[in-house]
Amino acid sequence: MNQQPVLRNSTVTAAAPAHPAPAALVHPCTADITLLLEGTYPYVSGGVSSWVHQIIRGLPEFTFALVFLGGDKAHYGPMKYSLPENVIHLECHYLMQPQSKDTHPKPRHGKAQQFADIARLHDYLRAPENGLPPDELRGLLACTVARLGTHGGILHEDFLHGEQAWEVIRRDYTRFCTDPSFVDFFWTIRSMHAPLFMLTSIAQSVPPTRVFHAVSTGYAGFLGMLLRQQRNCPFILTEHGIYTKERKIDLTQADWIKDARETFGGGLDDDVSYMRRLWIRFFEGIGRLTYATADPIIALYEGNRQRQITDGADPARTQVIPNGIDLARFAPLRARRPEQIPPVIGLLGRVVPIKDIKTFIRAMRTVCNRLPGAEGWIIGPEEEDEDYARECRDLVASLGLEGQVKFLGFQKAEDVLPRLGLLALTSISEALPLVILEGFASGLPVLATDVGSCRELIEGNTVEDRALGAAGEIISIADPEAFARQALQLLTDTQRWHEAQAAGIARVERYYTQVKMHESYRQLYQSALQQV
Amino acid sequence: MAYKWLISTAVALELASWGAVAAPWHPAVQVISFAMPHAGASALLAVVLQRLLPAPYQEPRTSGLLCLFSIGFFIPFLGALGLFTTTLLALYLPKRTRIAPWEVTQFPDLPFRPLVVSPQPLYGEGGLAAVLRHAADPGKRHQAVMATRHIRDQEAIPILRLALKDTVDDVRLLAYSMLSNKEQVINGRLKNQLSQLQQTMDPPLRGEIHQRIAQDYWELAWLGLAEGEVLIHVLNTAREHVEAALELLADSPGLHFLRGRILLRQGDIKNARVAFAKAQSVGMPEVEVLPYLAEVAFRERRFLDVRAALRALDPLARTHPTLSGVADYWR
Repeated sequence: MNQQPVLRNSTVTAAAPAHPAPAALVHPCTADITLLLEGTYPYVSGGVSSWVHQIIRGLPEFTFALVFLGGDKAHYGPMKYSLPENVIHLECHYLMQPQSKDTHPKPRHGKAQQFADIARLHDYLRAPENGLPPDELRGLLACTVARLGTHGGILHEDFLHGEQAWEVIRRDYTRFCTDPSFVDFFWTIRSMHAPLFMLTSIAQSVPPTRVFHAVSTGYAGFLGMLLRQQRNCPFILTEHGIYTKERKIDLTQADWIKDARETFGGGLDDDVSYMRRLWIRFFEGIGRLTYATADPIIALYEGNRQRQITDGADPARTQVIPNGIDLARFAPLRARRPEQIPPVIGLLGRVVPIKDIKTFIRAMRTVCNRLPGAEGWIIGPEEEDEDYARECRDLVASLGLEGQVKFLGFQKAEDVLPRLGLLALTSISEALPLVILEGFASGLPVLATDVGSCRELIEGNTVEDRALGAAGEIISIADPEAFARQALQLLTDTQRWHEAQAAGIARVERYYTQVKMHESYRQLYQSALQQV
Repeated sequence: MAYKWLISTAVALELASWGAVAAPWHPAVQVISFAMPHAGASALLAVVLQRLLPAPYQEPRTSGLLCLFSIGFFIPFLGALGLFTTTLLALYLPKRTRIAPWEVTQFPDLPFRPLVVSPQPLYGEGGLAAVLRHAADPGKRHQAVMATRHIRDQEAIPILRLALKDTVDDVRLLAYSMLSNKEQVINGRLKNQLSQLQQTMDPPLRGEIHQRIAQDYWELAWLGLAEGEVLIHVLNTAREHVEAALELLADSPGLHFLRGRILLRQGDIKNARVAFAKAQSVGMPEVEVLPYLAEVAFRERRFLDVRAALRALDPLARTHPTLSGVADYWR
């Protein structure tokens, strides 16, 4: 296990590592587990990345290889984590990086049978409610997607320059497209599928592995599905948020998709335009294919497990493994708390729109008006979305909160948690935020928005869990007034604060320990490795 | 059997006529010797052909016979041959008749599909807010949020705020994202104008920039994008800018009017009244100011003045949807 991590730059492109790698390109050993990571560890810090780091470090008996998939290389800086010793391989690929142009394309015919099979798969994805027996679906995947980019299947050149591909696009346009522009349809189909062909070439170069584990659906999940089909290795899927849902929200609002319907007017009944629906269905489709091949499919809490089932996951293959934290790291912080409750509300998280930092800042205006001396600390890195961070600073200035709301940047949780009186989370979307568990373990009540599993964490899930009491308060998203009201009540009502603190500590110690989480994944990996 | 004799006689007569053409006779004798048997042959042929024709074509008899005779007589040999071949072919090799007289064909697809207009429109009696409150189907609630794209911001924002409390994540996130976009547009404008203000020294231009900033802050408040303490702050800032603008553009009716609206929202009724009066005195149309003067009078409990202000309104202005109910009440 005492092996040096190796970074292999993708043939596409690669990031510059902060921790330089040895000269060898590919590690000669077979990794036990290859983690398929999209836009997270080790180049982006955050909840998912912390979880990945926690898993790798907590299971030193397994060796890990990492495949990082990013969008544009320019968006990622150096590595945010020092790779543990049991990481034996790392490779990075950037799917939105411009490709070298084929300057002399040649006309091709393309294999008719392959295109007919792909058309069947598309028919299924268009109306999955009509169903396809699992064996038949797996058979279809084996003869289509698994062979994508190989000489036995559809090559990228066939897709770009083949007569069959043209025929399929032309036919689908006349059969399904409600947007008048064939040009838009044609180029949307081409650009939509381009990353999939890149993933097929990545799949061919991933080093030998015994088990694949994707940490989301989307492109990482698609790669996992390809590898499962091509190498017949076990494929595990863990979803923190629900990728498809988050993509859907992005795409509904994305301004890079032109809505032709709006050009021609539209009524109130208008839903999303065809091109938008096409993109949404694309991600729903690759999510569904990932669910069809992954086993087990893990969610962090019951709400997300139900969502996975709605999105096409087989209930028998789904399970819940909640996050857990290292109690030994946070429990000692309770002794470092001051006797009086500090009037400081802390928000630990990246300064990005999904955390809705602006609601926190607006709420602080009310809190500071009613509780002079109160402070709001925003503790987290600002580099990921510098424009948003600047907007937040501007908002602080425009609300005259310069002295009371502070941006502390990235800080070690151990250093700041004992100095807070209340932990806040104003996110608009979460799964099971580790920061809430860390707050509980360090003896802090939590005020969080009603997203993901926050309500379960604060109010309890089962009857037994609820009996422990509320470890804080839940509020609606984007409601600064409600936030301020609840924050003021918790900070000024000492008895209530102490009750919430006790409930949080009891809950995290009983249900959300790192030991439990590590044990669950240890068993999962061992059973997967036995299948190999 | 009769046909055989008739045809044989016709052929014989025709051969005889062609024989007369070949004989070394006087041309006049030749013509007569040709024409007589040829006419006979043509007549016999016409009779035979008419009988061979399908029944519907046999009528009218006389003109039919005459037609057939003419073709045979005036186009010697070829006419007869043509009539025989066409009639015989038509009779013995008829066009194959289809067993099924009808062929079912499908409507061809259009190059793209027309938009489908729902027979049960979403915007029913209760409006989009009612859909959000009562529709059990999350898809329908999602659609209600999407539909707010087509209505005015002032009406859309309360609906989006309601959707922020929806039980389904997708609906909440969509509403949040749409609200956030609206706010971002105004904040983006504010940011640009504030930086322009720092760079501009020309007093009238500074006045205009102050005015635009005040209008954008006012829009944040008016649209409902700011609440609670933030709303108080936004209104204060709007007032500061409108007053700064008035120092440079003292006779702007729009600025006095905006100041009046801000003050009214802040609850400073007395100063709002003064600002509206000033706006009117420097040229703000009466139709714009009177409804606000009515509101000021109402809040000062001068109810007779409310009626007077609303009665003074132009009859057309009284039909405005937001005003008509109040105007009718106070009539």
